Amino acid sequence: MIEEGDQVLIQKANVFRLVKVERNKKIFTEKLQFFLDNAVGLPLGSKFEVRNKQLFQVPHDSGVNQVPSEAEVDTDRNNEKIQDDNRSQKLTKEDLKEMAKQGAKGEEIIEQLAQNNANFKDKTSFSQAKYLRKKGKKYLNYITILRPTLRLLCNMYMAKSPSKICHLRVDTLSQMLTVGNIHAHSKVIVVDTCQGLVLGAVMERMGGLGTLVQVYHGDFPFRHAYDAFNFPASFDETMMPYPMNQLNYIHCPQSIKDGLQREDQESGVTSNGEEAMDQEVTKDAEPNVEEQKVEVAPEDSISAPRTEQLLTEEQEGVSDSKEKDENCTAGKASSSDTEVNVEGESELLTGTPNADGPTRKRPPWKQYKKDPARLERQRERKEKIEQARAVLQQGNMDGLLIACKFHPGPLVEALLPCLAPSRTFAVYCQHREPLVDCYNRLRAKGGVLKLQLTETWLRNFQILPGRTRPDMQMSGTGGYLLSGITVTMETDSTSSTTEPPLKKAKLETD
Amino acid sequence: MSFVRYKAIVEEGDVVIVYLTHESMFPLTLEAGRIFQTRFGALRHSDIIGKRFGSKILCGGGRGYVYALHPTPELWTLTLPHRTQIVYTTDISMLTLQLDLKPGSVVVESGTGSGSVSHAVIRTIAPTGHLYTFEFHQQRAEKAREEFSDHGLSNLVTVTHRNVCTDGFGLSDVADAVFLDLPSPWEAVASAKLALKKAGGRLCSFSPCVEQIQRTCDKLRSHGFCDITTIECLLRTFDVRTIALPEPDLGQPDSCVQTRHEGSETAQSFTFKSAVPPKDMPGHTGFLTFATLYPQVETS
Ligand SMILES: C[S@@+](CC[C@H](N)C(=O)[O-])C[C@H]1O[C@@H](n2cnc3c(N)ncnc32)[C@H](O)[C@@H]1O
Repeated sequence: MIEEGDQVLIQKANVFRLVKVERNKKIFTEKLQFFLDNAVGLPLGSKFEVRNKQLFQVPHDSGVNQVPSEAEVDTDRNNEKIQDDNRSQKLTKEDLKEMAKQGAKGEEIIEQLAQNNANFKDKTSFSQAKYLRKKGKKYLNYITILRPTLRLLCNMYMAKSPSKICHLRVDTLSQMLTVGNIHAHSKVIVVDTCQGLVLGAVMERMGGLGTLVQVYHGDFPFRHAYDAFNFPASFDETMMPYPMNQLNYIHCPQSIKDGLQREDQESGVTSNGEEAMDQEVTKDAEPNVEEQKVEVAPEDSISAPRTEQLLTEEQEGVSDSKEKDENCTAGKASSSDTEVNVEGESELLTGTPNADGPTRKRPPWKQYKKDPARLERQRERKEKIEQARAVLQQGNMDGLLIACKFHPGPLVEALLPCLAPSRTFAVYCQHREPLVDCYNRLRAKGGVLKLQLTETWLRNFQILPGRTRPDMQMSGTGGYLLSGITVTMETDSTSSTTEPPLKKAKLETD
Repeated sequence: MSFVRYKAIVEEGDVVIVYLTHESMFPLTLEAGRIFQTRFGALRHSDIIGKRFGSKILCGGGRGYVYALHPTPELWTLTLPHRTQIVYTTDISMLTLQLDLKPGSVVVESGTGSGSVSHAVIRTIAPTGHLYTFEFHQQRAEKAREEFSDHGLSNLVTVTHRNVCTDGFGLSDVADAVFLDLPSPWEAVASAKLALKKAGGRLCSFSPCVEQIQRTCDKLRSHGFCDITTIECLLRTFDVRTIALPEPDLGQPDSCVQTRHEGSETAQSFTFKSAVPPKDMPGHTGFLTFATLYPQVETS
């Protein structure tokens, strides 16, 4: 059901956008503008036509032209007589504009275009279908409202901003989830700098049952993609954030408190809270900016107008919910803090890191510092961190997934001891070399079996009668994965021969 | 024990996956007093019982050792008794994600085969979901039922002995997802559509041959399935090695003799750590075709 307050994906042709369902809020996507009001209460997966900025539900085959079946495939026609000049179309741009003004439906325009195209009749049925499909993309105003599933979110991020999810491709993520044996009632550690996509995927597979320790980088847990899953509030209770910069202090509780206090003091030094916040954001943002400049610039420039529009929207959404959060102090712990980070990241995307930071409607720092709601949130957060530490200390976690922009070696070394024996882990990296390093470190340390460095290869196919073939384009890389199983390090007490792990490793390779 | 719930200590009657080497593992159901012969020597079941999963177990009177691992669907896929061709973890991962499976999902599967897919699916949809799996080979159906029970999964799965191509699934409006691994999957499309929830769902068909997916896709289109996509996903495993390439000897003109003496006497080599792709690897498993059934619009 499409419900107010939920996040949904809006699909227009092959483009997806994540939006929050709100009444009276104009959505912009792919040159369309509309309100979601009419969709509220209808099933997710419904298809709509956009007319006068309103949505009207339509059957799913609307605007989809039928694929010619085997029997209809014509052999007598070919494209021999097709003239490739711009004169084949009799309708002018002005004609089309006029038709649109008169309120002609997309289908009608396309029909006119086909009729007035001198070549259309001579085309093979395949070319005809292709022509209609192409025009359909331009003139049909259909959208579908979908549940943001992991599958669709992966596609969306991959198409829009792969660097935000460290180029983690859907097949690679799917391997992580199975190889990591993620399931309900397990205790899993996740390190994720992929917008919280992996975190969300893991939470979905755990169904809110078990324990999920989120090792986060920066000052606050970041869960942009995670929020898209619309998890019930109860799922949050199984989630324990733990700061990455405290991983060396898992076994020293005192240091954790110190660390947090230091963090508080730091922000306290500046009399103006906003400044302090902004520093945090940019500090966090810098490495990303560089990365984007180097790698993502070409992609982003192609889709620049669309992305920007989208971001303005996203930012709007963010500040809206922050306002709400401040009015309603019973909000989730640290949620308003998280949003500061969200904004930081959004700025990144637009490629214009704003030195002054976005203007926020926060009360002055002195006042805000003493805000009981804020102090309460902070206390809760610390409590959760303490809980996470206690859980990690026990060393009987069931799984570990790492997908982040950092060198995974130190992370694996710090976190692997938190796993019980005979449990699985999977480490993702966009590059192969850091995983080779990880592999060697783990081999040297021992306590792991079935260490495997892998890569998956993904190819899409077009399956049509008489026209089956692989797609012309395919993804060049989906990143690399290192996985393995933990085992006990100690040798059985009855043992007389203590073999070092490396010796065993040799035995395996021959 | 249950394959879908980790525990710490091995008990009698449990299944453990005995690990000898990377390439050699086998499942073992533990019975006190029994002995299993491995190539590292005799392994006494009672040496495993009471230990932690993941422990090193001596065998052959201390001559060698193995590890006793907690079973997972992935280890099961690698070690299960083959009654049929099976689908492996790479494809299973992809179909699990593409079918939007999660705890609570209701899934319909045919054929059950050796239960490789079934185990992985059950793991993901537990504890509140259900798998209805159909197999027209009587012994395979029975064996699968037995295994599910031994693995503590009975309450999560229903095995039905039936020919789904002629007799259908006999289910309507229950499933979130359907998985087909049949010689002629197109014959099951109509009843798969019936089995899917009216609110919509996903379908996946696994077939090795192009002709099979061709016919399946035609059928899916004519039955109103949308977003039909077909993919192929392969796994490449790298061998991590240290490699030393000898430096070439380009000759030693007199003027350079000195430099030569400063370097080491032996020939130098360029040494590096590398992830080496395999010489041979599986080049095809099967095509995975996915499709969505959207909720039907009530015509008012
Ligand atoms: C390749 S196997 C399935 C393997 C399974 N996916 C696995 O990974 O273990 C195909 C199975 O489908 C069964 N089968 C074939 N046609 C069938 C039909 N019409 N109805 C039910 N089962 C059928 C066969 O007996 C066989 O066991």
